[in-house]
Amino acid sequence: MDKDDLKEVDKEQGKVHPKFFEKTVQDNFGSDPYKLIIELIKNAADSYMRLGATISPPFEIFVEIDTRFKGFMPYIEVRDNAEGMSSDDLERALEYGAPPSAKTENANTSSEKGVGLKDVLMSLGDNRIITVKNNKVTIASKDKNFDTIFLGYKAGEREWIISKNEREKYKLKGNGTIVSGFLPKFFLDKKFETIKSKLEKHYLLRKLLQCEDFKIYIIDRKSNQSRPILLKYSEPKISKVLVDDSFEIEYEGKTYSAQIKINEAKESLGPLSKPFGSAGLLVYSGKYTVLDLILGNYKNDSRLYKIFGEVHLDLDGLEQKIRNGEEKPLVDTARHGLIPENMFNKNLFEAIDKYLKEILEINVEPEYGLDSVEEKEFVRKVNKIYGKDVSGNVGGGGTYIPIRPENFELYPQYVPLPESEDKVIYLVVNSKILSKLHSINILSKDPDLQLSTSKIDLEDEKSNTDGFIVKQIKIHSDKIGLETEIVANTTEINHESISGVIVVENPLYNPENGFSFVPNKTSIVKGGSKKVSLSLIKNLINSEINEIKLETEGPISCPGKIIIPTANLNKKLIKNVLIEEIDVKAEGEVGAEAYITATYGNKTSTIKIKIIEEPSIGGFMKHIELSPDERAKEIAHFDETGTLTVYYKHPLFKMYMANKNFKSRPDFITFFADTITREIIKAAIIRGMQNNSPSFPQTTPGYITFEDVDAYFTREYYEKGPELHELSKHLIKKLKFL
Amino acid sequence: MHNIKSDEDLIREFKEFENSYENIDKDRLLLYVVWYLESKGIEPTLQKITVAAFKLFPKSFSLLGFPEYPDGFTVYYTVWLHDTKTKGLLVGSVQSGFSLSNKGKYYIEEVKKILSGEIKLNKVYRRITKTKELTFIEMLKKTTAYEKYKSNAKDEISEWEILKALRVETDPEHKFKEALRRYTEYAIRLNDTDILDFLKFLEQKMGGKYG
Repeated sequence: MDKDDLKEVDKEQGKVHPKFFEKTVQDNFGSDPYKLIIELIKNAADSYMRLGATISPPFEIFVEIDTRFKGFMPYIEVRDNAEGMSSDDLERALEYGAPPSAKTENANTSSEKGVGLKDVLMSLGDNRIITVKNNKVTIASKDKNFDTIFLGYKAGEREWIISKNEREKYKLKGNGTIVSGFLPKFFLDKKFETIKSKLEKHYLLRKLLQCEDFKIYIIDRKSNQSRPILLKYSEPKISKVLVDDSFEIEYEGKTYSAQIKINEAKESLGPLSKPFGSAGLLVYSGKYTVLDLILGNYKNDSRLYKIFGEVHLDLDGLEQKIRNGEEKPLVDTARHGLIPENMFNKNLFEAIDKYLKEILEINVEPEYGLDSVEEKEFVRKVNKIYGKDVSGNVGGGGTYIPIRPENFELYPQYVPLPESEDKVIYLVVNSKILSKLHSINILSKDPDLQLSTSKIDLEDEKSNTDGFIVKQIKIHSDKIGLETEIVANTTEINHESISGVIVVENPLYNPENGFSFVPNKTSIVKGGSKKVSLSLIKNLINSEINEIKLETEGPISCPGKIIIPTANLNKKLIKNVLIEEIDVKAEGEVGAEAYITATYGNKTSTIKIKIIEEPSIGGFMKHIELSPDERAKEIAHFDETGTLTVYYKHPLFKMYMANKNFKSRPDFITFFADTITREIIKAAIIRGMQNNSPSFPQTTPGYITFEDVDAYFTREYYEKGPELHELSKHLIKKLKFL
Repeated sequence: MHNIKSDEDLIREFKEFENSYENIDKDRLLLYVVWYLESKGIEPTLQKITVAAFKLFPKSFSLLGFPEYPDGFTVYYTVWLHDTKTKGLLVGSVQSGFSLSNKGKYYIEEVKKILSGEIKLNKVYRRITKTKELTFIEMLKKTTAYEKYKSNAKDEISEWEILKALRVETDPEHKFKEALRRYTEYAIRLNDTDILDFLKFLEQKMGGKYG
């Protein structure tokens, strides 16, 4: 943006209401602001095309971006050396409701109705258009009132002979046009690299970038070198050409021809995604006028994620209908794409769908997947088989114990124990000291803390010579507030371990207001069920009221009432509290909330229940999935995230899958099951060694050697292999076609 | 006036812990620092904990690239958010100083045994704070170029994969050399020789194409 001494020399009043403009801008650029820049580039390209044979390619278009203005959006300038405009041409071009450029009828241009340039100028801040034709320059801008302001040096003089200095300044050697201004805030992108990259990917610019006659350069004014970089579109790598054909479209008694080319990419391109995606068929006319990016009625079909190509339409006189049809136009005015209601487009889509359907039937191989419920069950069972061996020390109930003591230690070091509730703590003993030890004493320092045992006998563990022995000790206390210690010691060696215990109030025996759900909020896995506890203190129990009413709100179900036992009531009370467990089933979707309100006499209590996703699976294995990736060298791979991927397009698999009814053939099932079994065993051994599991000790501490893995593999394959094999066979039978 | 050493002078005399501590988590190490200060009759304020942690365990509490300076932020974050607010091993605040909670008094016994080697941990903890350098090198290790490099499929690494690995997705003429320099700097700071070799390989593979 240069400061100059130009001033207003003339004005053409705007003839449009601001609301109209807002709507136009919103329709044209709201969802895809890159159309602003593309509109200018295409205007420049059209201008070159109108010159026809009078000039020869390359036709250069320059897009300069300046991001140096702090607090402002990037400044843009689009420049061409095409036909330029006289001041009268410019006045018409900037008038709302103006007809298309004079010579479009026979030129092979993108042939729009004349709305683009004005809309873009109005959207640009501090906008300006400089145009030179026949050695005369005209400079104008659009102001907020839609007036066209002509700039110059003398009042009333809209154009003048361009000086040498002005030519140098504007970089216009002959005729040409420059449009410039600050990009609007809704453009969002501010970085040069981002703008460049998105322009190169934009589907509307794709054919123009592929057209050899045009060279579109982008320049970063912020960069010291400011050298022009050629914009290029990189087409996906083609694996094979699926269709290269032509077809005809009947419309209003006339036949229009079209050429279609469909390729399969080497890698998945993902779903059809406008404006920057590569998947889909680019429909265009003329040399570069892109009308849409489509996949007919198959746009959401994942089997076509590798499909890309183009459809070239010979519109032959239909150009005027592209955006101005008597029925529905071919393309909507905001260039969102082909309008499906238009009869021409309907016939076009029908023809394209035929090709795609054929591709699906012949070329696209079936995709396979696993049933998600079966997969989860499989993973859960594998983790159960390998839980202890892989995780190192695991106490009862699957609790992971993260320590490896030299002698023995209690775990954890400090326990908050709810009153009148059992809790388990652990004693971890290093098997190396078993030769010196026969037993370990476990003592409570306060008689109000009861232990399930006072002595851990180690005689039976003598045969265990490697790894760690984990023993459970149940602890219990009814005395709230008790702070005491548990001591593990022995007279045989000089060592002891201490855990602190604090007895905390248990809300089950101290319900709020004497009648309450404990806790008063919980979550249930989608489709699952859970028991919730309701506490009622003895003092509130009235012999005349023998039931608790339960009312639900939201997607859960539970019994409508609980009958309070009359006979032997005292036997059912714990610490003078009646605790009822209620079965609740979740029936809604993840995220849904529900409530149960319990009423007993004049007392009520409510529990809030949230339906949640099944929590992530605990254990070394998290998922098993099938992948159609053909490049994989291995048949299956177990990665660090715990995912076992089976590549079912591996040549060995394909060999089996080529057979009819392969899913029920024993040779296929055995092969598949063995592949999975071996990978799981290998992964479990490596994970176990990494975690210093006593089941997989490292011969050289700190190193996982091939020899170690190999030795353990043979052992594991015989010990755990059969069970894993059976599980895998069951899973494979549930293989499904996606 | 008696010639009594100030808390600060006492801390200045602390020596690095002799046994290996690099693989022990910072939560436990700071619990030890607070206990150690208390055992020496020094009031554990945040400033004293920061310097004491740096003196006792410099490999765990120094700034990446500046091993001569203490990492005050990590100390604050760990003492306050982990040991005090989340785990309840310490009580106190920056204003009042910190001390071991009842729970912390039991845990410190385990920490002392871990530091003396009497108890080993199954998990090896990360010594380096997750800085920008570590984040980017970790991301580099997850790229297909690195995976192919590690699995001896070096010939299969494409130019695009190299540029993508270094996050140079546009304008490689300008950015490639700079990205390579920056990643090399990160790898040196992290002393990651494997990544340094990988970066050298990438440079050779590109054969001076981008300067």
